[in-house]
Amino acid sequence: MGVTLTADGQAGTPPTAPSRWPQIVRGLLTFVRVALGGVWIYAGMVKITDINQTTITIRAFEIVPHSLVKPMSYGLPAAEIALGLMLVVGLAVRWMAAVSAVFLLLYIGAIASASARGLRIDCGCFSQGGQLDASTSTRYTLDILRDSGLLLLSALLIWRPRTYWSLDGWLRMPSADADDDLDAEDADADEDGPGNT
Amino acid sequence: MTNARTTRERAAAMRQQEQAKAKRRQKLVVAGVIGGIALVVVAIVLIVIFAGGSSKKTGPIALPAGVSGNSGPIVVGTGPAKLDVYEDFQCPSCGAFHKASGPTIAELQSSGKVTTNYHLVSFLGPESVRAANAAGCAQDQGKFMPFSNYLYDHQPAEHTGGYTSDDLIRSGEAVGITNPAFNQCVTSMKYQDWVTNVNSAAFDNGTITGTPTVFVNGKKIDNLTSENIKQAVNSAG
Repeated sequence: MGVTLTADGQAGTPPTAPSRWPQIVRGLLTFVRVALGGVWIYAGMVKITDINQTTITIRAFEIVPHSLVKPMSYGLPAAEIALGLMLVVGLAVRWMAAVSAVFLLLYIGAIASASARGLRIDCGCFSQGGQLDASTSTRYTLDILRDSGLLLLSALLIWRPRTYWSLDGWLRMPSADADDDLDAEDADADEDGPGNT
Repeated sequence: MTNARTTRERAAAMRQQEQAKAKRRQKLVVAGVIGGIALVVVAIVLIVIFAGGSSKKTGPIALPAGVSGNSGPIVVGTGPAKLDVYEDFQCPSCGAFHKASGPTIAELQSSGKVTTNYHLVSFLGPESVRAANAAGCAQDQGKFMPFSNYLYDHQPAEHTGGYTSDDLIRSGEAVGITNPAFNQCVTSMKYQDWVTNVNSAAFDNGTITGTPTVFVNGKKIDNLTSENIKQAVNSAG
């Protein structure tokens, strides 16, 4: 019964029937938020600390025009780190989760297109990327699966951006002693909006 | 009655003031956090650009014997056709290529048909860089070809930290290098700048996107077999 409560956030049940589920879900989502942020920071740091390799990787995908490869090899990891930090501090969580999802969709698309064009590269998402030689398997399926998992986590945060220990939560505090877990989700959307700008 | 109302009004006004103050404080904190994040990211990018990021070394750098230009290849043989070979000592298919086509290229070299430019790229980690540096050192000892063949025949697995200085010195001994200058050259990474330059020259303007890549008189060999190389050289020669 508690499960159905969280599933559709607008159950009009009065707080007289308290359920632990919302708190548990919120706790898990807190973990998801921080973990996803950490993953982005890590991915960005790996790329930026080996900038030459990142350049080679981006070039190996043969998607970005030559003149944009260099700027992108700095810009992409920088954006990833910023996104990760925003998620960790919990600012504009729903927006950041959406950005995260868009990034992941682009990455999945890039990997899929590389695969479809028969390019043989290491996606370089977390490791040294670049061109692979014929004898090494490409791991495209694995890479796409991993990115899809992260995409799912991002989707969860878009669905429920409210988590513990977030700056968003702190911003909501004074006006809302209604820091109530049973709030309709629409309210979240309204409140998270301004945080983005 | 009027008194009660003013009290209520005053209380309301106070509450409003407090709320406004809290709002302002929140805005400040949000701005501070976003500014802080922006600062951190910009700082990281700047550090990368100015500390480790500059890949091209200019000015005089140490070059192995016979190499001309700061990103020049190692030249083997003399012949009318020009063979440009891009390979990485750590790339397994370069090893396979060496095994399959090495003898053919050696034959073309010894029959005076071809000048081979070996571009030793190094994009598979520090082991690639160490190996390329050592190959430059072997060139100084007149043992580039045997040393290079030996490395490919004893290639370590990728990303396992192979080609240590000790390994490379032992490989030198195995092909008959006795000069202690070689050991010194290997351990001190004498040609590191050259190795970096060769790598960026190969990748930066998109000359190659992977290894091994071979050009005969500037034309890329798409299907890399010894037969195709021989044919291209003979028709170019």
